[in-house]
Amino acid sequence: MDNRCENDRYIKTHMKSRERGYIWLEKECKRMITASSAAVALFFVIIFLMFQPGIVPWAVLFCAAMLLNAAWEYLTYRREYRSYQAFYRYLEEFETGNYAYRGEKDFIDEGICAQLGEQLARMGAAFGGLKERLVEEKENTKVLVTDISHQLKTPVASLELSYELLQDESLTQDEREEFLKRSGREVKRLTHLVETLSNLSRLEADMIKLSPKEAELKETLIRAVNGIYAKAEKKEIEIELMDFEPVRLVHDVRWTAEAVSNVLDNAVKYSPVGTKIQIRVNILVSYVFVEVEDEGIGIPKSEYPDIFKRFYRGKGAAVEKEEGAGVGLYLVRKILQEQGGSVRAVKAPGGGTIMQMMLPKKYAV
Amino acid sequence: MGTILKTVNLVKYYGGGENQVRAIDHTSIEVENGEFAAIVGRSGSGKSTLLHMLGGLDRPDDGEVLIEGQNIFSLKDEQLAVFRRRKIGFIFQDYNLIPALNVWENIVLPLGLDGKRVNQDFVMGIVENIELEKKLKSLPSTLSGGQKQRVAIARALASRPAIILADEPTGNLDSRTEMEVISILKTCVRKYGQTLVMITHDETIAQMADRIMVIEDGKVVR
Repeated sequence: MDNRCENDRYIKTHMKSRERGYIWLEKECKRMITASSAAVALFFVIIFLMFQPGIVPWAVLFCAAMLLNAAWEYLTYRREYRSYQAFYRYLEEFETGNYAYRGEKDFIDEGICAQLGEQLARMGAAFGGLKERLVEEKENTKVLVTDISHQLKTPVASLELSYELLQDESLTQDEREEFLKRSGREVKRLTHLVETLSNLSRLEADMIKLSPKEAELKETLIRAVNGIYAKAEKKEIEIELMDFEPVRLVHDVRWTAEAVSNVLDNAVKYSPVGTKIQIRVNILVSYVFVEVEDEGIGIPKSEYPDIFKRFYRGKGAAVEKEEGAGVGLYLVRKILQEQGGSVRAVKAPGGGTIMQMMLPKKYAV
Repeated sequence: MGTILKTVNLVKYYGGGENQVRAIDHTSIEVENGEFAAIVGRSGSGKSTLLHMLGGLDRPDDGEVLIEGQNIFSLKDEQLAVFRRRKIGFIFQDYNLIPALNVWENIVLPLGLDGKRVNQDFVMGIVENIELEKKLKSLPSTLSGGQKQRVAIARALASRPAIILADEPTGNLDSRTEMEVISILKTCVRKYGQTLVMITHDETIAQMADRIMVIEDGKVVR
């Protein structure tokens, strides 16, 4: 420990005395001193020629001025040299991947040097952020894989069970039919789950880039409604698309329709038979505002922060009765966010839910 | 992601003896870089006091606020002012625009205070994003509430601060404009890689955040 301290001190003083040498050797320093010395000398020669002073006092003054000038230039240059060194240090640290490096007090000083230093620090933060994001994305993919396999395990296990039971020859006809029906349900559920998960994973892993094109919003909404129409019909739920001014938006038609149809799917799933779902569109300054209002079971306020999380499912019995993987709203949020929009849930006056979605008029992201 | 903003055992009491109000009571929170965090609480829960201390507008009785690892209350007042100007953008409920300056002047004012040259393209980019390009020369008094808040957002973004602190930014706006303003804010913050901390009493707005913290009686409970 002691040894190290001593070494540190040695290196520090050694380097400090060396620094003087380095500064002298700098091309810029030499040039500054030469140029200003030449100017001083010229000035003194002119004085000598014009006023013809005594040679001794003139020479003394001349030498003093030359020395003073050199010292002044040297000190000025040394100050600059040190701030260059500070910038140099930043670049060196970034080169070795240490993006968290911060100079001593750039952030509280004023003046161009401090601003430059601060800008370098910002650059470091930007690079560091980029690097972290890459690492995080990788982590996210890992978690996704775990989550998906977890989601698939249960239905596969119960399907396996039904299959094994069916092989038992002592089963009665009734039992056999019951197990067949049950496995049929499981297969259906599994198909649905696989479809949802593959959508999710493709979006998550950026395998699908949204390809926004200018298109009529109404067509996208109709496409979404068409996808869900049969299901709504079955429950005698009426879907009403309120009329609105035609508006052309830059958006990804397929995925935006998917998002809206996810919202509609939820509305149908969690509404009683014979109710109504209303879709309203309002055009605001820089966004288009799409509301889907249902007369369903509603969402408890305490669950608002969670409903958009991946694999989150509502806690109520009515929610657990229905099938779902807890992916729908997560996808809605993701799809809209990718396009610079957003989504939130609000309680409807009638007790149902209003899902409010926003899409920017100008595609900005 | 790394932590950009952190409080350690933050304490702020008002008054003394019987009437002592514990506005902030040993609060420790962390905000990750690039995150949109919402702090939700009823009025009187201490949330505005907390935000003021996060932004270095008010000194705590005890505890630390660390921004990018720097304890901001160890700085002298002038240093803190420079630090705040560079690192933090504020958006308030009542906009705090300067009535005598037009939209453009309001937006570039903080840059001027810092003696920075205005990066015209960058600022115009923001102005276009929030659709104010036609209103550049208007005075704040001629704008609607939503437009005023857009100007305030542009002003907060213009100096590219690492953190933006918003105190009930949509308190005076109707429900649709509110969602529009938050969407703009969120998109911009995401685009420029900034961190956003928003204070609100309304859980409906808070839904749009990546993470929600709930504050009650000066303590973060969730």
